[in-house]
Amino acid sequence: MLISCYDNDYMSDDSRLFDHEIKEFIRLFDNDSLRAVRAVHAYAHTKRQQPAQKASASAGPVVVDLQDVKKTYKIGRERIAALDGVSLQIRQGEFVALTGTSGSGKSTLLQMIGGLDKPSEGIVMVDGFDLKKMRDGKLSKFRNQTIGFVFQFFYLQPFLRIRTNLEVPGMFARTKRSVRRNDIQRLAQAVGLDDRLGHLPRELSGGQMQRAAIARALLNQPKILLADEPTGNLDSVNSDAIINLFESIRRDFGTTIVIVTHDAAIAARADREIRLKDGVVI
Amino acid sequence: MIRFSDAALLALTKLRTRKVRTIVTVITASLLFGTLVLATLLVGGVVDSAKRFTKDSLSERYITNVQDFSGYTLYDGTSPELQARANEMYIKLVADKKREAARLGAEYDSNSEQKPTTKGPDNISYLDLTSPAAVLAIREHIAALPPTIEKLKTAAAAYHPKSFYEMKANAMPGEMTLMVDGVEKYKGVAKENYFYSPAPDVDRGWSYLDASITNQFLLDSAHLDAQKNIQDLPIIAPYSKVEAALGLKKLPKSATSQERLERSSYIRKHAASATFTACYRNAASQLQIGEALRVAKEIEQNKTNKEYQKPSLIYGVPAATSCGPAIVSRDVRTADEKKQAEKQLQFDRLFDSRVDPVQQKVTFRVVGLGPDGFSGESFSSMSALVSAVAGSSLQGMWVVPQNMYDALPNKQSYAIFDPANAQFDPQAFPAQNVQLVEFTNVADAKAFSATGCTGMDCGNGKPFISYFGSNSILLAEIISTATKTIGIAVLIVGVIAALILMGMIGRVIGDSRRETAVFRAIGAQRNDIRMIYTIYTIALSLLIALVAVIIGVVVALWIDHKWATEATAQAQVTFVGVDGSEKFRLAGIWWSALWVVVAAVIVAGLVSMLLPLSRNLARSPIKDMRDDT
Ligand SMILES: Nc1ncnc2c1ncn2[C@@H]1O[C@H](COP(=O)(O)OP(=O)(O)O)[C@@H](O)[C@H]1O
Ligand SMILES: [Mg+2]
Repeated sequence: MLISCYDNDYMSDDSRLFDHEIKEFIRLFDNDSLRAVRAVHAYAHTKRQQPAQKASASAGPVVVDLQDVKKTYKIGRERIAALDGVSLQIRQGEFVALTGTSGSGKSTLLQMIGGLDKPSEGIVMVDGFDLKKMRDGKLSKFRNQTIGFVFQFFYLQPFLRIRTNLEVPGMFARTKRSVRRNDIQRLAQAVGLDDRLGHLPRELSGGQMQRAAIARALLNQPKILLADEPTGNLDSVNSDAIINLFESIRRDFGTTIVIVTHDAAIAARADREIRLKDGVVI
Repeated sequence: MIRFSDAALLALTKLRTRKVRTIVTVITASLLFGTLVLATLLVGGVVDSAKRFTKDSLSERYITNVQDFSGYTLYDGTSPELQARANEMYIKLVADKKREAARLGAEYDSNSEQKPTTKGPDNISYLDLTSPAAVLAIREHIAALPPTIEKLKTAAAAYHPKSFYEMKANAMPGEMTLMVDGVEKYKGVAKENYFYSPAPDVDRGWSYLDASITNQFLLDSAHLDAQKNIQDLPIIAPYSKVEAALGLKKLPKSATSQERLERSSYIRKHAASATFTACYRNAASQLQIGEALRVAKEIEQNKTNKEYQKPSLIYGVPAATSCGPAIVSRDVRTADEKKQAEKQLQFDRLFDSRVDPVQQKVTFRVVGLGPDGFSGESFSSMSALVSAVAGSSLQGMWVVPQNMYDALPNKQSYAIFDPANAQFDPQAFPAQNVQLVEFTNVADAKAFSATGCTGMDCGNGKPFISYFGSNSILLAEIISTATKTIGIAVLIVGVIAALILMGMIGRVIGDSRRETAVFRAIGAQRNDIRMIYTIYTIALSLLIALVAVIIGVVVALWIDHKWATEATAQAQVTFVGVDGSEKFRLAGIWWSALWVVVAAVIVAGLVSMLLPLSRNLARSPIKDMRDDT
C-alpha cells in the first residue's frame, strides 16, 4: 500500500524522493505506516515548495554549548547511556531540529539543555550558565526565565482556564498580574487564541492546545524554546501551523528554537538538523 | 517565591479534582471531628447552664462537705477510766436514790438499779448502755469533748479555709410522727425506709443550716415577706414532698417535659402555702397512749367476761387531730393509792427528766424547695445528668434556715429540737452533723478534700470529704475531666483522620505528579510547590472543620431542642433557688475546646500532607513527565 502510494504520486515528480529517504521514513515510522505516509507527503511537499530555501544560520553568539556530555541511567544493575559523549553548539536565534530514532537520546539532550536534569559527565553551558554547578533554586529560576518548554502532550492544567494556564510561568516569576494579563493578550493574539482565553483546555482542539502551550512557554520571553515532539500529537495541518508559528516566533523575537521531531518535513524546515543515534550525534 | 494569591488559586483548583473522593473524605473526617465538636458543645452547654443555675449562690464558692464518722466512736465503752467514772456515778446514784426514796416515802429497790458494766462473751468488760449511771458517765464524757468543728479547723488550717458551717441535726429525745391529713395514727404505721427513700418524711429529722447556704433554696421573697410573722418552723422541703402536700399526684413517668416544667413552676408558685404537721411524743407520752390502746383492747375482748375487772386507772386516746396527752377516762383508785403514786412520781422526776409525758404538735412551713435525693425510680439519664451537675447536697433533706429559726418569735417552743439541747441517747441513732468548709479557690478545696477518706478506708479516723452542692469544684472537675477526655479523643480522632486524609492528599498529590513536573519545568521552586499543597491542605482542613462544626452544631441544637425542656424541668426541680424562667440549655460554645478541635483538623491535614509531598518533591520531574508518554 505504501509503495503504490508513493509510486503514483511522487515518483513522477521533479522533486523525487530518493530511495534512501523513503526507507528512512519507513524505518522511522515502522510502527505507524499512516504517519509515515503523511510524513512522506509533507516532506515531498516541502521539497517541492521550498527547495533548499533555508535561512542561513545566523551569526549570533553561542547560547548552548555542550561538551562531551554523557548521561547514564541505571536500571537495576544495567547502565544505559542515554547520551554517550555529545558535543554541540547552538547559536542565538538558530532553529535546530533534533532527530533520531526512538530512544536515541533526543529528550534527554533537550532536558540537559533545559536544566531539567544534570549530565553524568561533561559540561552543559547555556546562556553563560554552567548548569551542572547550579543549585535547585537557581536552576528553577533559569528554567523560568531563560527556557520555554513545549511538550508533545501540551500539559495544560485541565481545571484552569486558558488565560490562567498562560499565566502560570508569570506566577512563578512573581510578575505583576496586570503585566501578565497584558502579555497574555498579546501572545494569545499572536497564536490566534485571543477568543479562547476564557475556555478550559478540554474545550480546545489539539492544535489550539499546543498553541496555548507555546504561548505559555513564551510568557517570560525566554531566550531558548525547547519543544519535544510538539507536533507528535497533531495532524499535518495543525503541525504545519505550529511550525509556522515557531518560525514567526524566531523571526519576531529572535528566540533560539530546539525542536525534537520524527517528522522529516519539519526537520527540513529547520536551519540545521542534529541527528542522534544511540546517544551520539551522527 | 510565588505570591500567596497565585498559590491559593492553583491550590483551590485542586479541590475540584477527585470530587467524589474529596466529598467522601470530607464527610468521613467531618463526622469524626463533628462528634468532637458536638462533645465540646454539649459540655459547654451543660457547664454554662449549671453555672447559670447556681448563679448568685454556690457557683463562685468552693465548699467541701465533711462527715466525721468519729461521731460513732465519741466514747470507748471498754475504757477503764470511763468505767471507773460510771461506777463512781453508780454508787452515788444508788445512795442518792436511797436517801430520796426514804425522804419521800417512795419505793426503791437498789438491786433493780442496773450496774454500769457488763462482761461480754470475750470476757471483756463493757459499759452497759441500759444502765442510767453508764449513760450519765458517757454524757459527761461527751460534754467535755472539744466541739468537732474545732478539730476540723485545725485539720483545714493549712488550706486557707474561708469559713466553716455546720449542718446540725435536730435533737429528738422522743419520737415524731407525721400527721397525714392532720391525723395522728397511733400504731402500725411503718415509716419510710430512710436509706432508700429519695425524700424521707420530716419526722425522720431535719437539719439547721446557715443562711448563706440556705438562701439559694428559698422561694420567692414576696412569699417570705408575707410570712414575716410566722410561728411555724420554717423549712426547706424536698420537692416531691411539697408536691404531695399541695395535693398533687406525682406525674407519671410518661409525662411530657412540658408537663413537668408546668408542674415544677406550679409547685414553686404554691409551695409557700404548703405545711407539714407532725406530732412529737416523748417516751412517757408514747407509753400512756400505748397503755390506753392496750387497755381499750383488753376491755373489748372481755366484754362478756363477768369476772373481768377493769383497771382502777384507765387512760383514753386523745382526739387524733390534737396530738394531745392521753386522757384519764376512769380513775377509781383509793386516796392512798393516789398518794403513793404521786410520791413515786416525785421520786422518779428527781432522777429522770422524761417521766412526765410531753407531746407537741409541730407545724413546718415551707420556705424553700430542695431536690429529692436519688432513687432508682427517678433515675432517667437526663435527670441524672442534671442532678449531677446542677444538683445540691440538700438532696432529700429537710433543712431549717438558721437565720429564720433564730428570728422566730416563739423560738423557745422548739427548744426540744434545738441541736444545742441534743443529748446522748443509747436508743437513738446518733445524730450525725455535717461540717462544711468553704475555701477561696478550687485548688485549696481539692487539696483539702484529698486529705479525707474515699469510702473504702473510711472509719480509721479520716473524715469523709466530698464537694458540697453544685458549686464550682464540681464544674471545674467536669471541665477538667472533659478537657482530658476530649484531649484524648482529639488525639485518637486526629490520628484516624490524618490517616484518612493521608490517603486523600496522597492521592491528589500523586495525581498531580505530572502537573508538579510541568510546574517545575516552567520554573516552580520546591517551595512554590510546598506552598501550593500547604494551602490546598489547609483549605481542605478548613472545609472539614467547617462541615464538622456544622454537623456538631446541628446535632447539638437537635439534642438541645429535644431535651432542653426536660433538662430545664429537672433543673428547676433539682435546683430551686433560681429564677423560674431560666432555661437549662444543653448546647453552648466552649471556645477553647472548639479551637483545639479545629486546630487538630488542620494539624491532622498538614501532618498527612508531609509524607506524600516530600516524596513527590524528591521525584525527578523528567520521569514524571515521561511516565505516560
Ligand atoms: N529516567 C530514565 N531512567 C532510565 N532510563 C531512561 C530514563 N530516561 C531515558 N532513559 C533511557 O535513555 C534512553 C534515551 O531516552 P530518550 O532521551 O527519552 O530518547 P528519545 O527521546 O530519543 O526517544 C532510552 O533508552 C531510555 O530508555
Ligand atoms: Mg523522547
